[in-house]
Parts: sequence; C-alpha cells; structure tokens
Amino acid sequence: MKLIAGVDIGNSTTEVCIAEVLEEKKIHFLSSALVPTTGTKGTTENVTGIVNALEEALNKIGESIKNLQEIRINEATPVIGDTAMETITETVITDSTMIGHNPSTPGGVGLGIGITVDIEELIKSSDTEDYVVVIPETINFEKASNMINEAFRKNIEVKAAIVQLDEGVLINNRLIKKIPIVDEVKFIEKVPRHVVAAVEVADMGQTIKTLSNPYGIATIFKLEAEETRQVVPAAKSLIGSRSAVVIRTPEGEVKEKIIPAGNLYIHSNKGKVEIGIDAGADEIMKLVSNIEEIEDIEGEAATNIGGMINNVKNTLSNLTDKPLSEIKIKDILAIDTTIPVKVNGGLAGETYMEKAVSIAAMVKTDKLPMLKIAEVIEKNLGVEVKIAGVEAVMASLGALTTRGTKLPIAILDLGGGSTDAAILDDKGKVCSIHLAGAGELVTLLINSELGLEDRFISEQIKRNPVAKVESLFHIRMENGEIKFFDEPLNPKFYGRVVVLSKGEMLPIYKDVTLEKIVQVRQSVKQRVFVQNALRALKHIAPMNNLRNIPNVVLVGGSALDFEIPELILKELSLYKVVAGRADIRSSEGPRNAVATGLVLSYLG
Amino acid sequence: MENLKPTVIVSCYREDENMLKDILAGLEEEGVFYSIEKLNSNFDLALLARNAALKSALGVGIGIAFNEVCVQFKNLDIDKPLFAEKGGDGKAFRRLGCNVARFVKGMPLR
Repeated sequence: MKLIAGVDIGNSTTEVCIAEVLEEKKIHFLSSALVPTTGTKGTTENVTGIVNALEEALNKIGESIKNLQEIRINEATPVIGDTAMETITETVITDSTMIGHNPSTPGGVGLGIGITVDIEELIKSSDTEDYVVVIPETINFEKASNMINEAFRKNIEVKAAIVQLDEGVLINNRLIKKIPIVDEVKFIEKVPRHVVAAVEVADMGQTIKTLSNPYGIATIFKLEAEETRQVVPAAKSLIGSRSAVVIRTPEGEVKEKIIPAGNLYIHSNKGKVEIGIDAGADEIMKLVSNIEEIEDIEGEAATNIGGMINNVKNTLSNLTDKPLSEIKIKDILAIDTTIPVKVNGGLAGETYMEKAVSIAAMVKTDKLPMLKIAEVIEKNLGVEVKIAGVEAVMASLGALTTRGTKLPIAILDLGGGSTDAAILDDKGKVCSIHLAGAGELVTLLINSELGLEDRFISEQIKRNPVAKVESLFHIRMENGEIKFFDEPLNPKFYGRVVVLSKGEMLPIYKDVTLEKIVQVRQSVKQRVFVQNALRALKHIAPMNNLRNIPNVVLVGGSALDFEIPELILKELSLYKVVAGRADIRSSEGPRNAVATGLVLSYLG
Repeated sequence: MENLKPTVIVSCYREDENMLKDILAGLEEEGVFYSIEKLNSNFDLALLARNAALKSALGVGIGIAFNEVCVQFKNLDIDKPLFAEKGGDGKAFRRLGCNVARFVKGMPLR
C-alpha cells in the first residue's frame, strides 16, 4: 500500500490528509487531522505540529509514520497580518462644565436651575436666589434631607441637588418638596461653587429634553449664537441620558478635539501618496482602491500605526531571513470604529465613545524557506518530502472536491490574518490575491466597540450565540428560544448576558445589552469579511467584473463561522454569483482544502 | 399570600438597628417596596426568612436576627438562600439591600 500525506501549514492550524495511491492511478482518501500550528508559519518550529497532525491522522487508521511513502507540503505564501487602532477624536470637559455619567437611580423628576452651593452653606443662604445644593459623601441621606427641609422651611429655594453617594432616591423621598437629583458624582469636589447650574432628570423610561438641546442650554444660560455653537458638544454627549447636569463656568466648555493620528505613506509605481489616519476609513480605502498595485506602505514614526507596520515587517524579515528593506506591505484594510475612552475632566468617571480607525496590514514576500522545513522533516522522520506547489492552486484543487462545483472555480479563503482569493480556470491558470483584514480584525473590533477589554470573551462572542439569563432557572437565547435548567443557576449569571460556548455559559460583566452585542457582532463581520470578499473577488475576476465568476467556494477557519458565509452569500447573490461553504471531499466542510489538493496533485 | 402589594418582606428579631437601616436604604434607592415585621419569639433564621418569602408577593423574604441576615426566594430550596451574611459594615448591608432589589428587578447583581 502506497501511503502519502498532504500537509498544509497555516497561520493558526496545520492540516493533514492521508491517502492511499492505488494501482490504476486512483487516490483513496483515508483520514485527516487538524492541530494548532506550532511556532510562526514557515519556521522549523512548525515541524512539531506537523508530526502531531501526522500521528493523529495515522492513528485513526492504525498506521504509523514509517509507512508513509511521501509527505507533500505546500509552497506556503508567507502572509502575515496584524492590526492596530488609532483613536482620532477626544472629548475633553474643561472646568467641569457638565456631568453626563447617567446614574441608574437619580432622584426626582424635572429641570432645576440655580446657583451651586455646599449643603453646609445652604442654611446661611439668602431667600431671594434659587440654589442647586451640592452634597458630599460626608453628609448621609438622612442628614442631607433634614438640612434641605430646614432650608425649605426658611423659604430658601432649593431647585435641585448634586450628590456624591448613590442616594438620589433616598434623599428625594424625604423632602417636603420634590426636586431633581443627580447622584453618584465621584469627584464632587470638582463641581464649581457659586455658579449657575442646571440639573435635569427625566421620567422613568424617558430621556432628557432640555440639556441635550443646544437651544435649551442657550435659554437657561442666556447665550448668544456664537456661545450656543460652543455648547453643541456638551448637548450632543447628553443625548439619550435619563439625567444630566450642565454648569456654566466662564471658561468651561466641552471640547471635541481631533487627534492628529499620523500619516500613512503608500508607494506605487506612480509615486508616493500620503493620507492622515484621521481622514477616516472611507477616505483611506478610496485612496487604496485607486492604486492598481501597492508596492509598499509605511506609517508615520511614533504612532500606533507606524509601530504596528514596523512590527509586522520585522516579524517577516526574521522569518524569511530577508533584510527589512525587502519586506513590503501589500495591502491594508481600514475600518471606522468607536472605542470607549474615559473623558478627560469628567466629574463622575464618564466614558465616551470616541471615533477610531482600525487598520489591518498584510505583509508578503517571495518564498518561505520551506526547504529548511522539508530537510528537518526528512531527517527526523526518514520520509521523503516534496514541496508540491502553489498554495492557491492546491486550495482550488481541494475545493473542487466539493459536490456541485466545476472549473473555472474561485475560492475565498477566510482566515485569521488574511482574506485570500484565487481563481483557477479550465486551462489550469491561476490568479490569486491576498488581502489584509480577517478573523483577528473581527475579534479586535468586537472588543473595542463593545468596550470589553477582554480578547478572550470577544473571540467567544465572535464564534457563539448569546443569551440573557432571565431567572435562576431559565435563559432566553438571542433567537427567542428558552432553555430551562434543573438546578438553579449560579447567582453570578443572574440578569446577565452570557455567551454559550461549548456547553458552557460565560458571563459578560460589562453593561451591554444582548441586542447591542448581536448588532455589533454582525456589523463587524459585515464590515470586515463582506467588504473583503468583494475586494478580493473584484481583483481576480475576469475583467474585474464579479459577474464573470460562475461559482465561489468558501474555505478556511472563518468559513466555519455561524454567520459569515451567509452574510457573504447574501451579498454575492446581488451579483448573481453562486457562493457557499465548501465541503471538501463531502466530509471535511471548509477545512483541509490545501492538504487534499496536495494529495491530488501527486498524480500530476 | 397574605400581602398583595409587591413588597419584599423583612422579618426582624432583635435586629441590629444600623444593619436594618442600611439594608432598607439599599432597597429604597433601587425603588423596590418593603414591609417590616418585628417578631418576639424564638426563631431559626433561615425559617424566618422562608416564611417571609412565602408571604411576599415578590417571593423574596429577608430575615434579620442580631447581626445576621438571610435572604430566601420562594422558588429555591431553604438550604439554598439567595444571600446569607453575618456581620459586616454599612457599605456591605447597603449593597445587600441593593442586590435583593436588583434580583427582584431581574438585573445583574453588584
């Protein structure tokens, strides 16, 4: 029995396929295996993973490595992707002009305007002015309400309160006259005294109407048109809150600054163009798409993007033993996103969703030193190793084993670090492209847009559906279905959104709704993979027209995702292109395309 | 169910005054109503809380005796209290009241 193996070393996984070559030049597939890639793709460290995968696949059929006749590995295209993010806006509250943290239990209802005064000073105040009383944590709710009631009895007009502790409801419940109260103001000492302030609390289930309206603020503080323009950022950031405070200090305002986030320099045969990151993703991608072939991309020194681009080039330089000067960035994908940032000058620890641009870059060079890997394998295992051919061709051959396909065939390889496309025509000619932006970028964006600060949970959210724990005995899944439990759930899950991962429930500790998680997850997958699917296919399509591609087969790890293939299919159907997840050899799904192709190519 | 208003029932026996005050403040700030009953006779804290839970329209009962507190939910077994604490400071009691309220409202606990 002539046993051969096809080995595909990928960025994240190493896949193997074992087959028997029969007399009549026929191939009989026996088994396959998939293990995590050991070391960076293209280094001799990969050999450990290769051996693991081979042993696993061979054990399944009761064979061993010494019975292998030949091991075929791919001429891997060294493609390394990386991502970085730059925040491009910054909200700064100067001189404590507003409080917008939206506490969960404010007191009272309505709009209260007055001059800010310490509660200790209140009783000495005159009865001709209106006041907004400021209450630090040293005065508890009982004492505070007594002091305010005493002031009421002396006809001192208290119109609202700003409180440090979480006691807005407790105080208001004990007052003889009800007033709007904003509580949980952490840095109460920063609230300016003896200035005009406006406190607004909306009814339960409602949002404020006056302080989120620039004209509302103008009316209260008697502003001119130019001054009104200056309060727009404050009003804007208060939209959708149930409560807020705006304090008119002579110098204070809420400033929205654009952060100069550095430039990108794109080199092509037509010269060099430059664009600032803060121009936004749309402008950057417009520029990129106008360039026929990118020769290299650099980032401005001392910026996040500049650092990322240098890192990714260094990694590849080390990998291929080529000098840094020969390593070129061939593609970038820019995506507009938002990221929660603590507001500078905030009085209550407010965070604000600032604009950011995320960039994925892809580095490529000629050949990886696969010979080195081949040598090590031959030495360690005593089996002949052949470097069998271009990855794109192997992938296409493997993809063809999906029922319902024929040549010309286009494949979309949705990976972790890059999105690749290749088209193999009936004359055996292949055209391929590698683009930046794939699974890892999706995880990064989910992490930043939901403000999770947890890559692990972001990865789980990407791969799995979510549910809300509605009682100690049941959860409601995102599609509305209910799941019951025999034993009561751990209180740490109660009321939380959880990710259903491999039969386990992972609680999400940030304050995000289930709907928001689903929306962000789907939006990010759309913005990264659907955009890249179109970009990639347009590159390789005959005459750059998508309608000239008869069918597209999706392969790669991200093709296993529960939503991504459907999103791509929906988009491509607009171009009347048949697209779907591959089913290699009708048994592997979208996995094992290259390994299968390597085995098939044995017959020449 | 004796009590038809949607309240958490708080049953006390020789309770620590400050502990009771802080727990009630936690409930009140979160907007959940309560009714208090003071008992004179012997007790078992878990049973005290259990009876309160069975009488409560919200199904939640808080039992306080000296400086110990037990919170029972009617749909859980008596040996699986929602919360059970002994001693602590004002902040802890406030948080307990707040969490009982959040449980009633279906919100995640602090």
